[in-house]
Amino acid sequence: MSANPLAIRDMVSGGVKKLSAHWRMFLGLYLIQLFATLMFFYISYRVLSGIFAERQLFDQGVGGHVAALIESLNSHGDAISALMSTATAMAVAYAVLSFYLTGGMLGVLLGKPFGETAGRTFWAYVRLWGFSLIPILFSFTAIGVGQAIVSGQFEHTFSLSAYFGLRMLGALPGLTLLTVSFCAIDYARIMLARDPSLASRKALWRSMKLIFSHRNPLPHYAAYVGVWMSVSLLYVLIAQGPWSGAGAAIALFLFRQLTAILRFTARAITFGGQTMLHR
Amino acid sequence: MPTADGRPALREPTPLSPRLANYRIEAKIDVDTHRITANETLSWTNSGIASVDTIPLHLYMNAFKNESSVFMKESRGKHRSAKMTDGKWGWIEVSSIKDALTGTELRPRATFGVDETTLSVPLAAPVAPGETVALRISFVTQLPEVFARTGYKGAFMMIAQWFPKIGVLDVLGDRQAWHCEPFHLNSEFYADFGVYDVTIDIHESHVVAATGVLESAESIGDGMRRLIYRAEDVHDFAIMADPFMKMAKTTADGDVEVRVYYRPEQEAFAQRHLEAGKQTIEIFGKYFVKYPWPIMSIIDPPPDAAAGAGGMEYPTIVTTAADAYFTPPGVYLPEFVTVHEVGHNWFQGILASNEVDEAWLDEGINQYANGIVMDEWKGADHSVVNWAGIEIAYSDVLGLRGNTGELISPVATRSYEFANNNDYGANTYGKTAIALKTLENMVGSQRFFAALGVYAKRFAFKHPTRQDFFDTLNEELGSAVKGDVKWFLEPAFLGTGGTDFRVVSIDKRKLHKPRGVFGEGKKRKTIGKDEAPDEETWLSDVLVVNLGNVPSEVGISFGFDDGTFVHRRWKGRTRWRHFEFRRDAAVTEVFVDPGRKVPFETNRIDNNMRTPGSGRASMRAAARASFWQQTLLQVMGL
Repeated sequence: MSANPLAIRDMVSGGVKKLSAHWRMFLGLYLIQLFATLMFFYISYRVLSGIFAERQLFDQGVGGHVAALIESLNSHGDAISALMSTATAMAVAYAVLSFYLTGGMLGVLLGKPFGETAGRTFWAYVRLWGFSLIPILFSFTAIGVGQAIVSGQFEHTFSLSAYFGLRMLGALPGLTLLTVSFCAIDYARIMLARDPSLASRKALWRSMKLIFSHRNPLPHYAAYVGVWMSVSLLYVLIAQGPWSGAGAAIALFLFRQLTAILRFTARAITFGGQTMLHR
Repeated sequence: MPTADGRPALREPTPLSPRLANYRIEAKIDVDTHRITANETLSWTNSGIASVDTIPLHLYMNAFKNESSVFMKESRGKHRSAKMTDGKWGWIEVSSIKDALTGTELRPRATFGVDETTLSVPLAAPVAPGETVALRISFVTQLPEVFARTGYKGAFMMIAQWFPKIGVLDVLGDRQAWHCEPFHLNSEFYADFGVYDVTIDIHESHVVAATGVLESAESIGDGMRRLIYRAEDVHDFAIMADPFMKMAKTTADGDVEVRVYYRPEQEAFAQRHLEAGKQTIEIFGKYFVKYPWPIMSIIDPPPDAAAGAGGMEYPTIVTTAADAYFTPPGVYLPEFVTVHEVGHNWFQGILASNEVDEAWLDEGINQYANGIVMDEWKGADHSVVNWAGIEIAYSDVLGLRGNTGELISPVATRSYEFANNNDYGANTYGKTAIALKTLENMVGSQRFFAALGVYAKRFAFKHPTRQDFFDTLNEELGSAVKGDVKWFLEPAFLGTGGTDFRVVSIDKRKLHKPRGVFGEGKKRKTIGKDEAPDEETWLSDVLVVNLGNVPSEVGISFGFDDGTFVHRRWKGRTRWRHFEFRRDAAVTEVFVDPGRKVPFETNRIDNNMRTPGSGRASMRAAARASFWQQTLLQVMGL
């Protein structure tokens, strides 16, 4: 492992600087994501209000009455299932769009024009995604095997903390592999943005070597994952409150967007730091 | 060495039952092979109206002998979540049946029924009504690896359905007939009350719990000890043996000793089961009849035996379950299992209905009555779950479980004649409990509990039937509904389906004097809006229907546009009803059964309607859903 002159702190501060320098681009990217979210919000609202506007039972369910919520959703299972499929389909479409957007964003961070890099890297990223399935599936297999191993202990597990501890223990090898895989994919994308003529397979292989030959890429990426998880957990804890009334609804909306923005910002700063390392 | 309990087998000094079937058993349990070698003296008194020349015996353990038994064919080797282990079969072999008086060997002439779980034994001489016959029976029982309530797992043994047991001679009018069905997948048991004197020889390493009281314990050498139990006015006898069990105990209802037997790693759950047992004995005792025996033993099986042995009831000894990571304090599933099993000491232990033909009379009534215990003990709003801010009431669970509209058979179906397992379980447990809860809500809790109390006292230590139950409810509840409750009981228990209220329409218009053309010839006059303007009074008409098969009384809340509410009660004997209001305000919302008093409801979503609609809740739900969708976007994309 070679010594890297860039410390994690430098990568983070470098990422922040890049975010500041290109804040308009990041804002634009976030607005695209927000647009997709608002589209889904609109579809959900139309479907739910079409079904439940006349039904006070649904109000009770949304207000926290578990049985009322189950009864309401059960009564229109097909519509709820269609909504979930829509959410998934939109996420897939956004993931495909992200091939384009990520290429452009990384191009800008590397000093290239957005559109040109986005266009030249799109298919390379699609191929990279295909190759990435190998380590990702391997990671998920490891998670599955780990879960199968620890599940033998569940019969003798009598507390929730022990249960989650076991679950985490079983998932740990697979999650570590998954973190390594996603970290490598990030660097492979940067390599492809820098040199679109590079083969995706080679980019993935080189990025694997890169993250194991330098000290900081993995901890840097792990720090991002940690921030992302912490922000999400904080949201879950705070959102448990009553949040009733119009004012609370607006506050909750803003709080949700703040959560999403924080996670997006962390992602942007991470990308910025990664582009500094891979020069 | 365990010490004798030093107490009589009953809390009351006098016998409580006719004691028709009495057993004296000397059993030797081999803890290594899980095999029991025993001699049994069965004394049976003919309570019928004619002589009996043949008696049928249940040999339940042969259900697990091979795949040809009725039980194994019906179950395909599965019961609840347990699977029959290939090669670890259980069986019972009766080598000798002798008339105790004459010594005549009867075994050679005895014949099996449709499978080897029943044995028909021709007697040496007919037994006239009122006479008693005694048989000396020698048998060996091999326990299966734990399955369908009995067997072993490692060192743990739950020894149940293990001895030859006589059927029940029922008299219906001028006819008498034996009830001794083969052991079916979904049928449990039916037996006469009696006295059990059981001597158990077992290795001293094992902790033993059994039906009744321990009269004496002594060492008999070779590391063995002899335990002598006596149980009175019970209809079964079960034993638990395990070398690792510990015991915790408490007192209920003054002098009942409640015990929990548990493995050390399950200690945290032992106190929960103990309290559940105590609460059941005290609350059931308050509403029904006092627990008649001095001891209640609750067995908490080790986890690997829980699927096969857990959740079963025998007189004065039950097995519980649900010790798991997903049942932390506040999730009352372990408590509920114990309440249910201990509760069976009333509903089948004391009220010994025929579980084969009318399983709902014990499972369903007990399931309903368990809610009384849970609600009183934990609070009605969160009697099932009160954890991490989540509150779930028992009545809600009943309502959610009650897919009554989709069940194939009526509740009143023989246990082995249901279309499938779900049809049996959902009818026998869920629908029965739902029906009774609905009835309770109609007539009032105290009145309903009192009616059940009358039923319990009237038929304690007898074999009550569906008709006995219906008759008692009609007598006790009729005055509450000005008539009887047949109109509810019969469709609820003898028919399929449930209750399905729906608000069909809310029509409203302002009142005005009649408009149109009036009179003839010169007197013809047209009255329009100007002559008959709208008044301030609104006429609101609401149509409510019950699309289900079961009528039910129900409360309805009507909301008006001036913010006021009116509550009405609909008797529900007809299929539909219009509700009309003439007020200065118009009806804007209707809620049938807002208090959720009709758990029989199969589809609650259309019980309510408002006009105009409101999208506020949908907006909240959509906002929540879209945030999680955004999270998905961030995971899958940029």
